Parts: sequence; structure tokens; C-alpha cells
Amino acid sequence: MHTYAIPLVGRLAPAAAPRTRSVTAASSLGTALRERRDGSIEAVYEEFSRTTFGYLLATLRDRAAAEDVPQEVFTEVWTRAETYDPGRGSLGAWIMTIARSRAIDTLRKRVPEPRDPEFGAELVDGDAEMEGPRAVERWMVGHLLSKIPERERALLRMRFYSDMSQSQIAKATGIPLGTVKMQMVSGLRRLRELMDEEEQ
Amino acid sequence: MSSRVEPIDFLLGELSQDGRIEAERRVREDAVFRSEVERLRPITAHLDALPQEAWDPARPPPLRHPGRAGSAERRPGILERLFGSISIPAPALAAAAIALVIVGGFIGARIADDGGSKADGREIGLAALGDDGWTGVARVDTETNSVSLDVSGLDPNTESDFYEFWLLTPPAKLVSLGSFKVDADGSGSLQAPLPVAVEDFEFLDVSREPLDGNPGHSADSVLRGTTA
Repeated sequence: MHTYAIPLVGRLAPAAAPRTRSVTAASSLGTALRERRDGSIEAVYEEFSRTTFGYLLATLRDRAAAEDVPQEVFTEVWTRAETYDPGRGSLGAWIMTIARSRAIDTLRKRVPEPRDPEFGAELVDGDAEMEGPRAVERWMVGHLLSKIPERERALLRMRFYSDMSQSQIAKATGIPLGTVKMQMVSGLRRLRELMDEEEQ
Repeated sequence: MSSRVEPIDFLLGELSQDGRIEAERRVREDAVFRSEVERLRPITAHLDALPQEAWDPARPPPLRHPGRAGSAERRPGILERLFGSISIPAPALAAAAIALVIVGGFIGARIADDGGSKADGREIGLAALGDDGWTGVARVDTETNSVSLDVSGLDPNTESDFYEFWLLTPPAKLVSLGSFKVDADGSGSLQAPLPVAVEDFEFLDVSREPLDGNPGHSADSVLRGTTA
């Protein structure tokens, strides 16, 4: 790692600017896809493939199967592009709904067989990721995590994934407790605003 | 006591019994407090239930098609699979293939002439500032005012740091474009809108940032490329 001294006056672009633009970009992405413009499916894949793949990994718990299904999902996204109706929901939610359907198809076709040892848990009926609209909404929140500043995302991860209290986070990171709370609230509010914009 | 009870503590269940009683009173009687709790509660509920795959999204299989760099790899791409499922007359397929070759050659020549520029935007290489093998490629799309970045070979992040992508002109002109994590395989990517013109800055820069609450550049640059 190399350190180069750069006199700085702080960032000029507030974090809020990219947030609004990202939603605008997502909206125009939906329009481009509906019109099947060149490069639109690639842009859609770039934007949503990680979330889709993560969902499929969590749902199928079989990496090999999960690697095949995104191709099916995004082929369907492309072939059904003109049926996407922004008035009925966000592009991300539409894609996640398709991914959920393809995941169900894959599970129905599955016969008992040795599983990838990396994914030890068995999928059972009522699995959290198969709950339908709630699961789609949850994964959209997961998708939107990539749109908030890394500092806020990291704090939310410590709290909600690593199950640390705000005091424990403050102690572990050296960030004052008040700042932890402030950034935690800021991250949650950003996610709320992004969800609201997605649902408009 | 009441002035110390905050919605975030109530939402996260981090209140004493007295604090919880006070928060519940405020939910009933304080519209602003109640509104904040009601707005944020669905988000905290979803975050609570998010599995590891959502917090650490794995790199998905690549999308390949004939017009994209690296398409030589023989993995069936989405368009290949899509078109492979449609019956196309052989003469039409042959004509399309010839047209693709001609168009591909033309685009290839354009890229060579432009020193790396692409038909739909600019491609800027980033290199390690020292002898390390770290590399990165930024693609600037002027049509959508966005930039994408792919890096490889970087040290994976820990929970207490991350990488940040900047436009900068020393000594003090600086804009953050976004932040990202690097996977265990040393790769990472970012797609972000461009709030300013790239040409107004000398460098694209990637820095490693500690999770210390300081929004400024850490001065620990790992990759850099010139915008000129």
C-alpha cells in the first residue's frame, strides 16, 4: 500500500447527489429496457445481477444451480421487457419477482441429491426467501444498501448482521457513540427515501 | 429522561425499561417521534432479516455477448442463449455474422485510433502507484453521465475499511464518486453517476479508507489514472 500526501479540503460532492441520480438512472434504465435499446440489458445486468445472484444463492443454497439461473432470469427480463410497467413497481422489484419464480421452478425440479457442502442448510417450506412480496421488498432493501455511503452501510452491517449494539460498535471502531447513532439514523433514512422513490 | 430517548434506540431495542416506557409514551403522544419510528421500522425489520448473501453480494456469472470486451471466453452469454432459442434462417444468420464482423472491425479500428476510447464512452486505465500488480479500468459514459469502475488484484477489505473512488486535481480539488468493497479474489466494482465533468479533473483515484467517520481522502491512494 502506498501513501501519498494530498492536501485536502474535503469532498465537494455530498453523498445525497448520487443517491437521487441513481434512482433517476434506474428509471431511465427501465425505459431503455422497455424500448430494447442497445446496451440496456447489459446495464440492467450490471445494476441488478449481484442482488439477483445473492437472492438465488440464499434461496437455492447450491452455487452451481444459482449460477445457471441468472441467465434464465435475465433472458426472461429481455424477452418480456415490453411488459415491464413502471406504474406497477420498480424495475428491481420486477426483476426480483422473476428471479423468485425461476427459483421456485428450480426447486420444484430438484430431486434429492447431494448438496454443495458450502451450503449446508436444507431449504424447507416457508423459507424466508420464498415469502413473495416481503422477500422481494427485503432484497430490494439489500440492493439499495449499495446506494448509501460505505460508512453508513458498514455501521448498519455491524448492527444488523453482526448483531452488535451501538455502544459495542462505538467501542470497536473508535467512533463516538453519538456519531454512530447519527450515521445509523442517516443510513436508515437514506434507505427509506430510496425505497419511497423506488415505489413511486 | 424524555429528552434522551431517541427513535433509533427504541427501534433497535437498546433502551432500559424506563427508557422503553418513555419511548412508548412518546409513540402515543408525540406525532414526530411516532412518524420517525413508523417510517424506519420496516427498514430495520428488513435489515434484521437480511441473509449474509445480501450483505456480501457475490460476483455473479459474467454477461457475455459479441460486442463486449472479453467475449472470447466460451461461456454462453445471455444474448447467445436468447438468440440460440430462436429459430433463425441460415442465410439470415450468415448475413448477420458478416455484418457483425464488418461492424466489429470498424469499431475495433475506432478504438485503436482513439487510444482506448470506446464508441459509447471513454475507457481510462488505472494503475498502481508503486510496483504492485493492481489494476483498474474506469468507463465513462457521457450519454448517461455515469462511470463504472472494475479493479483487480487489490487487497480484500476488512470490516473496518473500504475503497473510495475519486476525481481529483492536486492539491485540493476533490470529488468522491462512491465507495466499494473488494472481494477475497481481489476484485471489486462500482457504478456511479457523474456529478461533474471528468475533464475538469486531472486524475481518477482509488484510495483505501478506514472506517473512522472522516469523509475526507485518507491520502492512502492505491490506483490512479489520468483523465487527459
